[in-house]
Amino acid sequence: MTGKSRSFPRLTGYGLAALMVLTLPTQVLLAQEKAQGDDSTEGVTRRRELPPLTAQIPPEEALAAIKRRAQKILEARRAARRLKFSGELSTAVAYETNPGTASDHKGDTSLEPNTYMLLSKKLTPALTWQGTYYGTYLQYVRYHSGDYTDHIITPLKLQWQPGRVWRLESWMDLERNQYRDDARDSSYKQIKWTGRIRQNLFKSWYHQLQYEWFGRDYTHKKARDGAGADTETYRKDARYRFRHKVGTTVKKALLSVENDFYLNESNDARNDYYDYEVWKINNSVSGSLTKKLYLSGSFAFERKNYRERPVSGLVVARYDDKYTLSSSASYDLNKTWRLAYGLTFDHLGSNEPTGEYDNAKHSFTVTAKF
Amino acid sequence: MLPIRVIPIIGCAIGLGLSQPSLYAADPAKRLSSGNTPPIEKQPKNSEEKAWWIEPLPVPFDPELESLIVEVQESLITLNKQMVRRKERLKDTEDPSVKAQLYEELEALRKEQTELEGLLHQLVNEAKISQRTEIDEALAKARWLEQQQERWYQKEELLRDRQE
Repeated sequence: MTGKSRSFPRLTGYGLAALMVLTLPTQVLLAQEKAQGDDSTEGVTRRRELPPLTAQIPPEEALAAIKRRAQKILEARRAARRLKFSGELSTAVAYETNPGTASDHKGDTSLEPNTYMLLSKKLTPALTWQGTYYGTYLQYVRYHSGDYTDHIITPLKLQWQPGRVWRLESWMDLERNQYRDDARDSSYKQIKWTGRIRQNLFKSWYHQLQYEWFGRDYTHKKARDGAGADTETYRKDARYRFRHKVGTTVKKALLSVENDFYLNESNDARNDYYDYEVWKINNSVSGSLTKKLYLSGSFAFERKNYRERPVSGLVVARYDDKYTLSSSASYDLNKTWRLAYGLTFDHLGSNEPTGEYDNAKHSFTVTAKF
Repeated sequence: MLPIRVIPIIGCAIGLGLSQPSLYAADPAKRLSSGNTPPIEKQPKNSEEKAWWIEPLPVPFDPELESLIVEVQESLITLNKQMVRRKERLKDTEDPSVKAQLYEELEALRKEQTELEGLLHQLVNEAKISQRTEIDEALAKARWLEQQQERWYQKEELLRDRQE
């Protein structure tokens, strides 16, 4: 990113100098040839004697200048492939109408500073390595059970881009999430692996298949036995997720549809509370309205079928239907600063009436890129 | 008179024919190997080049690199002209010392030409590597928002889990 942009103005300078070196001798050379040896008659050139070409204007000099310039460009391009560092610092101020996702609505405001850092290096022209860190701290004004810190390190992400058509990516995330003491049962550590393959098609279409697996260890919450008593082991979850996405660009807008399926399995045996399967479909549209203004909108529907978790007072398993409508606008003030506003609305319907809720979130984010 | 079903087919064929130059125009490797430019080593043909109709649209190339490629091409043309001139002189002259000097110069020019063509080849490869498609650009722009949504979803899921 930066290596390329910084090196080219310099190269342009070298280029002009080299061009002068190149063009001057060539012109002089041609002029000399004409003056010294030409005996032209109607396009037929006859020269009685050879002018001392190499003695006066050595062509090697001109050629060396060309080569020097090409080498400099190539070196600059190679330099751009060396280890790069970039990142973002941002703070989001948000208001949620129902942050606790409870039936009784208690709105609250939150502040969420976060940071993102990226190291990347092209290992070969088509293969890139990335390492990233993402850290965030979420704090509510009153709803402190929702406060947490989260760290995600991605030490190994590989991207293979052999041409214009195929894109292959694979990475591993290590995450540590820590809630406050009064909600520490939600704290966990997690390892996640993702593999993704994309095919760019038909000039402006693509489709993408993604597989994710994660193992999550809850650091404070004990797994329960069938009777609901805590066991000696901590709760552990595993998730297997398949996602397929297809989309296209229409003018400057990107339209995508994603189908998503995953299974969650847990060692908590109490009515298999945390064993479920989820089907989800997400439709999104996004694009630049102007050079600096970027808009997006999406609508998602999700069905969560619990394997066994019973509805209160009944013997049927619970299911949830969730609808999410979201939109956002981001504006690049300059190369460093970006402002964004987002609105998300969730509605959860369920055959378990106590689990139903609505939540709307307004957020305003300021981001500095470096 | 052509049957009415054939006309759209011909139309499509003309359309495809017309669209090909614009596709080649976007690819420096193809542009370099056509017209008056000196031949360069053939690029290894892959399936993408053959299946041009499924090839995603590239975003504009790096203009700096493109202009350098053109300049190096022009330099090669100049170099070729110099070689042609010397060959003409060789035909005309009988002087052995001049001939010897010309052969020496030609050899040097040929060597330089080979080196320069090698550089051109590398530059063209660089241009090919740096190709990104419109889809790549659009998805890269949407990634930030996607990640925001993922995090929002994950947080919400944890809170839902608390409800017994």
